[in-house]
Amino acid sequence: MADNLPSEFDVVVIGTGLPESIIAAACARSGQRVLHVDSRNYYGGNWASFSFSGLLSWIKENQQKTDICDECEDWTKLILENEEVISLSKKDKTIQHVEDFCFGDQDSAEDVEEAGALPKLPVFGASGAEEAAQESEKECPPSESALLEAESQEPAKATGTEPAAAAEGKDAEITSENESSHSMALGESTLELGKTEVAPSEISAQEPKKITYSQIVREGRRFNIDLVSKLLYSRGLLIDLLIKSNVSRYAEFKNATRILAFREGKIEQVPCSRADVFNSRQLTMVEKRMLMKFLTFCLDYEQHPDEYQDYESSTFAQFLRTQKLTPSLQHFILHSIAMVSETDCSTLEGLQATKKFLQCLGRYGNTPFLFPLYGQGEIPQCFCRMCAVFGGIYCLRHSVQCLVVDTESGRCKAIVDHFGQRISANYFIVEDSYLSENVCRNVCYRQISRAVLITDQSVLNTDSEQQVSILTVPPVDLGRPAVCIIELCSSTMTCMKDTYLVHLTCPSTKTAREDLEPVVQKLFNLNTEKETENEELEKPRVLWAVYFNMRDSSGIDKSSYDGLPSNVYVCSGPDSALGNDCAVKQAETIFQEMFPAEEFCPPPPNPEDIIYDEDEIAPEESGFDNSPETKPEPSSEESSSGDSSAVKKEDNEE
Amino acid sequence: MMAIRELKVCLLGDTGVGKSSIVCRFVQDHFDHNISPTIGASFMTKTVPCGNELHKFLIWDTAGQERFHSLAPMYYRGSAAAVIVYDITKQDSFHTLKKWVKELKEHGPENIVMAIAGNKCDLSDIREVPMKDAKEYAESIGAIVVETSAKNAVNIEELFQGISRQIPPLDPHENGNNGAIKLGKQTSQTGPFRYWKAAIRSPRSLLFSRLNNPNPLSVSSQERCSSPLIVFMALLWTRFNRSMSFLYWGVP
Repeated sequence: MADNLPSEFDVVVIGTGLPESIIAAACARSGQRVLHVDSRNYYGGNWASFSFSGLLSWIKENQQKTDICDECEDWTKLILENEEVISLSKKDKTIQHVEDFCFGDQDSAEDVEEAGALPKLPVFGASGAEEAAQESEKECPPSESALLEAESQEPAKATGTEPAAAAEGKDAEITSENESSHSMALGESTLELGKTEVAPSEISAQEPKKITYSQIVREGRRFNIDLVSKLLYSRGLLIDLLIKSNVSRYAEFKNATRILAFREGKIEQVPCSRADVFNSRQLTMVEKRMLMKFLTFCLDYEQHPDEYQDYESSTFAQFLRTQKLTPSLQHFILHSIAMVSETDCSTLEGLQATKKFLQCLGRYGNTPFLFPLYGQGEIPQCFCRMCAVFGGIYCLRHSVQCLVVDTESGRCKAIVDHFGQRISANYFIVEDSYLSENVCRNVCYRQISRAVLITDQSVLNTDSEQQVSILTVPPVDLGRPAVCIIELCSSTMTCMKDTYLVHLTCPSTKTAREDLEPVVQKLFNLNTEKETENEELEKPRVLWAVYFNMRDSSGIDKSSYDGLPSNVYVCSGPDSALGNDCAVKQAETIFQEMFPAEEFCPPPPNPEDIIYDEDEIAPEESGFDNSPETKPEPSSEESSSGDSSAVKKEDNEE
Repeated sequence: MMAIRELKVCLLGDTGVGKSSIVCRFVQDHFDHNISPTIGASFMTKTVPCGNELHKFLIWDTAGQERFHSLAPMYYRGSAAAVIVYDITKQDSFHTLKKWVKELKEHGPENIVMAIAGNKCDLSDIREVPMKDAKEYAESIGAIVVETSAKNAVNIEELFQGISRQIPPLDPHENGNNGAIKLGKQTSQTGPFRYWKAAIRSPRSLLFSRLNNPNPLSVSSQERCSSPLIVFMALLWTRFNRSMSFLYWGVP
């Protein structure tokens, strides 16, 4: 690489997960010089999203558990006499028990490659492909072949069931282009028939809703599969932070459209807004009144302590039983609205959770939740962009060998990276998975059980195919955790058309498969087509599935880590909760500890609109102390510009 | 009144080829010799007429993330067009251009309009990349190609006009953004009470109704001080509830 990294920063952030990215953005925003590195070749760490081929590579990597060969530069000479080192872990050990299954027709799947993808490397960040490829000694195919692949794929898509993007319509261009190529495609496809993979898929594509494995592979880039499955509470800390910091401009969201409940072997929609309650057909008039009365009470339960005082020591489930609610309403409130445990959630916690849910209603739609288009993995990237905009320097595929600690002051002074470069800084943020076993030996980690399924229909079919649903399946045995299921449709840009992406999450008691497979069997059809029995026909068919356990490093006190200097801060990986409050809280706490006087991600004075003007920007040498005050008001230019081309100030004007 | 279409355009190319200068010239008709590596500005906008539409370009800069090949995939999401820039005085930058194109093919939307800009054509006496090479390559990938000079304002307007022409016309069946929500641009309701009331009429209308409030922050501050309002709404609510109870009993 021609470009060399500077060797001095204010803050070095290791890991690009959500809390690290928020801290990086906050530091850069307050004028610190930030270096943000990740040893992986994609953003997000365990918060990342992958295309299908990317996920397959990720699975392979985590199943093999091969040791990375140690070809790093000798760094011992960089360490001075009065210094000690804390080595960092070379191998990510946070993912365990990865098992993937393919239930689809695999006949033609062997040689299929994702269009335009590099087969071996996870797709993210592949532009840097050059070094990555050299390091891993894998060959990239010449670009021409990738292009060919991409082209050969187009006719296949155009002759598919229908103009594929019509319903998605995220990009106007896609649709129109697709339709225009539709007429031409017949001619083209005869040319392309020579390509073996294309022909069979065209045939199968004629019959709707029979998705084969090879189609999934070929359309792999339409998938954005999250490692961690979360939703954003519309009044949660993350939404507030996104709006406050204006990072929200980099992302778009979809509303979760349905809250579902699983009761007596059946899936039902939970009415939660007033309109839902009114329109619900499954509730009787009396039930509607009961539910409305109870929910109204929950909204300001603090005002009516007399109603719940007697039950403060009992569980929320017991409290609900006293509240003149039918069993089905109790189920809805306990599992789908409050989403709390039946056995160990107190009345107050339950009321709080119910209130939080209700308060989030109506800010952006009918349910309290938002989901980012293209997946949860976009959010850390958005904060990273914010950091970069304010001068943060980004290096993926950049591992750090050790932290250098000054023995006298006990403070960390520098890091040594895999090129053997010593980079000094005042503060260091390290994601938990980068810490070596030595440092974490006294830490007791919990685990999260995860499953991701690709299915052919929704768990609850309605008139609209494009639903984003959240479903809580209560535990079969008391004491075990409930399973949270999020089903995403293709308009969230996380899966291909005619498929659904289903995420299952629960705190682990055993391996992910043992925890989650019973639920999967209850809700889905795992057989291949031929063996399917009649009663199974109505269930969605699973085309592909993966199970894995992820380390939950949230809520660990810093003192549990052995021998970390005071200016090294640890960020945790994803927690098992549905929202993102934990990550935001952690980021804010760490930032305030480092810079108590600075505001955390203050409202931006439209940093995007900084206008380069000699008079205004002249004194800016370092380029890092780009205080937003230097931004000139563009209003005068705006008014003077002609009507043919107006310089627009961005923008909340619509 | 012409319809305004927002088009995201992303810039690609090696550090120092003049990506920001091109945007700066296009948006502000301004050139700065000492422009620092892109900091502080990550997208700029400019609206140009095209046919019977107005194209509002939202031009995203790399914010320096390309320097160590660490561009995030979100950078490409939903781009209508990409401008890939090389420096005609640096053969290397033309060589890596091909890698940027490959990257774009992998991460970018499928039908993205590609435009190749050979920048710094005012320095053609120290040129290393012949125009012919660029033309041939552009043809092979179906991209627009033009040599530009951000310094002397050569071909910058033309570059974006070329892109405008390549953008397919808006499909009338297309409702634009497919109900995707942009935070901050969105009206937020003052509270569940109001929402619950209004929702009876039409829950959808809420999604699209907008306050004439340009600043999302003031919305939230308004929320914070709205507790008397909530109390008032609650009062309304109880009365409303009572009146609705007629409905309950009226409808069997």
